[in-house]
Amino acid sequence: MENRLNHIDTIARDALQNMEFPYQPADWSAMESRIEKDAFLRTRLYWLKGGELLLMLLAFWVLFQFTGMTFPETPTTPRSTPPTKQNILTPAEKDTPQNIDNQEEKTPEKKNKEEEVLHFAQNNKINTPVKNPPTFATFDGVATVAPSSSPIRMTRSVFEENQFINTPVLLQTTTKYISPIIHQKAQVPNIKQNTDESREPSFAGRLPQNVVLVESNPENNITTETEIDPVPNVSRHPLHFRIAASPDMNVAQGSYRMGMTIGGLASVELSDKWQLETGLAYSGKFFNDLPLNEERFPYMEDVSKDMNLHVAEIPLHLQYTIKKSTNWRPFVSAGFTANAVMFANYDYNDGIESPFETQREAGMLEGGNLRDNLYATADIGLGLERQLDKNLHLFIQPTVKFALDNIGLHHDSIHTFSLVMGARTAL
Amino acid sequence: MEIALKLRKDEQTLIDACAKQERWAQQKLYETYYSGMMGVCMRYAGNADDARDILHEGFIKVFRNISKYKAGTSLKAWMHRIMVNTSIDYYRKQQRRRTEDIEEAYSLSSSDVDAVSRCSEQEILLAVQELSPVYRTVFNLYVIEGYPHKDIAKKLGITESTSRSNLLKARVKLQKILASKYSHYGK
Repeated sequence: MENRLNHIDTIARDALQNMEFPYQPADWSAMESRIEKDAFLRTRLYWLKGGELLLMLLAFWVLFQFTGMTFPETPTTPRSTPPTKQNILTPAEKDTPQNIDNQEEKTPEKKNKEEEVLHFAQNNKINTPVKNPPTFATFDGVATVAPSSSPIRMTRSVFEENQFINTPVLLQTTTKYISPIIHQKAQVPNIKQNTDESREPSFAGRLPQNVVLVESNPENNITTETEIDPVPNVSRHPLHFRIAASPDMNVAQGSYRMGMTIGGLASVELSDKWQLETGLAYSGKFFNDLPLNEERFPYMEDVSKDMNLHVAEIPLHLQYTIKKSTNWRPFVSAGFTANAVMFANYDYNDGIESPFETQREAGMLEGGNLRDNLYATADIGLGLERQLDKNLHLFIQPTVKFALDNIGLHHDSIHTFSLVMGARTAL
Repeated sequence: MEIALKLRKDEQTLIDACAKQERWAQQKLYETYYSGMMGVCMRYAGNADDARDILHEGFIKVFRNISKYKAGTSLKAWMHRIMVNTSIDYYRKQQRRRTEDIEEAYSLSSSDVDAVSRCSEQEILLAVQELSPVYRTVFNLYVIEGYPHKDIAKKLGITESTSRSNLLKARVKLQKILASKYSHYGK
C-alpha cells in the first residue's frame, strides 16, 4: 500500500514540479487594473489612518488644553512696537498733556496721568490741534486710532502688563463702540483690586472693579455719571464635564446587535452657542452569527462568526445650542470619533479555531496592529438638556455614528445608533 | 560568464525599476515569470480562475515588497515562495469547505496504480485540483515543495498528525480520481 502511494508522489512530482503555462496577454490587463486598485486602496487607507491619528491628537490637545493641565510658563518679553511718529516727539510736543503718556519713562507721580489729562482737558476746554496720529491702547497692546473729532488725544502704548492693568478699562477697549464725548469725559474714580474669582483667572485680582463714566454735554452743562462693569459679562471658556452612557444598536454586515457605551466628556464654550467637546469612552460591541464579508471572502458564504470588540473611543464634537431657555437647552452635536479596538474576540460557527491569521484578529492591547484596529466614525446627534440645579443638567441625545472605514482582517464596517444619556456639570 | 553578468545586471535594473513602481518593469517581470508562477498557483487552486486570482495577489505582494528582495539570491525562488505563501492564505480562506468523502478510497488495487502511470500531466493537475483545499495544500507542500510535516503543520495551523493524516487521504483520493478517469477514457 505504502509503495503504491509513494508511486503516486513520484508521478505527481514529475508531472507538476516544473509545470508551466503559456503567457496570456489578457491576464496583464487584469493585473494592471488590480495594481491600480491596490494603489488606490493603499492611498485611501493612509489618508484615513492619518486623519484618524490627527483626530486623536487634536482630541488629546483639546482635552489637555481645557482640563486644567498646566505647562511650564516661558518667560515673556515686553512687546516692542516699531517706532511711530507719535513716539518721536519734539520738546514742545512733550509738554502737551496729550503726549504725557507717550513718554516711556514714567515717574510714580504720573500714575494717574489719564485723570490728569482728562481733567486738564475738561477744565480748560482744550481742543488742541493734533500733531500725532491719536491712538488708544487696546487689550492686545496694539494702538488704535481714536475718532478724529475727539479733542483729547491720548496716545497710549502699552508695553507692560501692569501699565495695562492700571489703565481704565474703558480707555483700553476699542473705541468703536464709544462716542467721542465719552472719551472726552471719562474718568475713573474708584479703581479697586478685583477679587472676584469668577472672572478670567489670569486677570483675577488685578482688573479694576468699577469704572464710572462722566458724560457732560457742553451745550447745556448737564453731567451724568454711569457706573459700568469694566469686564464684559461674557463667560470665557468655562469648562463642562459630562458623564454619559448609552445603549447602542450596532450594525455590521447587515446584522443588528445591541451594545453599550460609557464615558466621560469635557467641553469648552467657544461662544454663547458653540461648544467643543472631547473625552474618552469605552464601548462594547457584540455580534452573533455575523456573516463574513462577502466581497472579501466570496468562498465562505456559509460561514458566520461571533465577534466581541472592546473599543476605546475618543470623540471630537462641535455642539451648537439651538435655543437657550431657563430650564431647557436643545442642541445639535456633530463631529468625528476615533475608535481603537483594544481587545477583540472572534469565534466561528462550528467552534473550531480561526482559519485566519490570528494576529490580525487581535486588539491593540493584545499585540494587534494599528491598521486593523483603528477606525473613524462621523457622528451627528440631536440632544435635549434639562437644568435640575444651578450646576447640574441631565440630557438625552440620540446619535448616529457612521463608520468611515472598516476594521480588521474581515473589513467590518460598524455603524452605531446610540441613545446617549447622562449628566453635565460646569466648572 | 559575460552573458551571466549581463543577465544579472538586467535583472537588477528590472528590480530597481519595479521598486520605483514603474509600470513597464512590472509588466516585464510579470511576463517573464508568469509561466512558472502560474504553474505553482494552478496546483493549489481549484480551477484556472482561482489560480489567476492567487497569481495576481502574489504579484501584488511581489511588487509591494520587491525592495526587500536580497540581490544575489534567486529571484525566481523568492517569487516562488511568495506564491506558495499566497496559496496558503487562499487555503485558509477555503478551509471550511472540507470534504470527508475519502474513507471509501482506502482500498486500492494494483490496476489503479498502473492506470495512474499512464495519465498525462494535465490529467494529474486536474485530479489534484479536484482534491479538497486542505488535502490539496498538504499534498502540494509535502510532495512538490518538499516541506516536512512539522513545517506544514506550523504554516497551516494544524497538528503534525493531522498533516500526516491529510496527506495520506490526499494520496488515496488522488489515486482513486486518476484511476477512475483513466478507466473512463479506456471504455
